[in-house]
Amino acid sequence: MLTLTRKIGQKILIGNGIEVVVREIRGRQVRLGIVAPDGLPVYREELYQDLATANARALSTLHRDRVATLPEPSP
Amino acid sequence: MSAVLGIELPLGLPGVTPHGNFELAARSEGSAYVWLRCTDEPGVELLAVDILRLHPDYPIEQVRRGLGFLHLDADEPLLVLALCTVPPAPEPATANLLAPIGVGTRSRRAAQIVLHDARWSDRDPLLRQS
Repeated sequence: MLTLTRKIGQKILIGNGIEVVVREIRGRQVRLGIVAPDGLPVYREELYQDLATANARALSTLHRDRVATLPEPSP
Repeated sequence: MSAVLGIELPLGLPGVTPHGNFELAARSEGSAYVWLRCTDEPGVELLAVDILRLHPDYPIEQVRRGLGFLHLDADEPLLVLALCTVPPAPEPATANLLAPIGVGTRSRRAAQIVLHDARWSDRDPLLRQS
């Protein structure tokens, strides 16, 4: 893992279009500002993990025999 | 939707596969349910549902904004899908309305995004519709 030391206001550039800037340090918390290409998903790790868990559950619990019994949505 | 539609998810599906080539196949002709199969990784197959058939008021423009990095044309029709969790009964079958998959039906590019909108659940019951 690349580890960098930055001060408040200093940036890290990732590729061609992603900037991460240290906005504030308060105790054990760091506020980061992120500039990314329009619409590129940027997630807190916890949110991404929730998404990944939900997707993995959809895959692993799929009960195919039941799929045919799901009713079509009402118009 | 045609019988089978090849689509690309450049970011893959979090928690499922990093691969991006998929195909969509309707459960049956005219069905709101579609199979989402990864053509790069046999065995990766999920059920999804056309959200607008469940909830015509779904915020499709929020989805379009979230897909900005795909550079879809502003007038490109979108298919908006929710992944379904279908465990054995009696556990409820649900759809994840919080993390829709938006599909540009002309470019056939797609991505899953997360809405920051408390109106929608990641476990919306499917059988409430019956």
